[in-house]
Amino acid sequence: MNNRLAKMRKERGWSQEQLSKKLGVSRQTVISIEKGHFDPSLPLAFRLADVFDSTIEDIFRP
Amino acid sequence: MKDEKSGKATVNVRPRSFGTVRFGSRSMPALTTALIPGLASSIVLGILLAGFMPQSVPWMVKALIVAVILCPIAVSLWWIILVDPNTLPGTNPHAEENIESHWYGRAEQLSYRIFIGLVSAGCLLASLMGADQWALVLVCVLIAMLLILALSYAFVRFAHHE
Repeated sequence: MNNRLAKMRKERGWSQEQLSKKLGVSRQTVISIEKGHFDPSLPLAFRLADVFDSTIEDIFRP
Repeated sequence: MKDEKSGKATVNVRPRSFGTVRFGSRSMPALTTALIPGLASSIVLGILLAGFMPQSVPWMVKALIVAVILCPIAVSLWWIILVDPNTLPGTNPHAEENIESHWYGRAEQLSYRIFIGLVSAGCLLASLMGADQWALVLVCVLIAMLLILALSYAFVRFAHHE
């Protein structure tokens, strides 16, 4: 699924490692989501929205 | 100390290389705690299994040999039972959501399908070569695998049924 995750992460000056620690998942998971190779689970999607203080729809585009 | 976000009081637990126990006082090191039941289990197993060893060796020596061999395994198994995985260094709080878990699940599915294919092919080959006993064994393995799949499906289906 297309997403703005990498762009939003860089805007906040976070590394992939830092974001993965905030989310409680592996760095490889963050890499795969950013590349659109892996769709996060619903709880993870909600945590992503919470971390970025945004909505799921704002981060992910079908 | 207080957690900044929630305002709740938290306890600082010194990180342990092999984690801490999941039950009771969570500051107890899991590996040290596993030593006692592990040693006890290996001694009990040593005593029980000593009867299967050659009679020429004294009973106490047999029990001790078995206990020493089984001790690392018993301690490891007790460690697995006792440890809180969240206290192990390098673990993620949401490991089930990692892509690695997804890859592992897909690998399990793929390996099952490959194994079914291999057993079926082996069964066919054995039949063509006239190795009836091997063909029969492989057919039984195939049926068992399919039965296990059906039972697993039923379990998962009804476990989620509300």
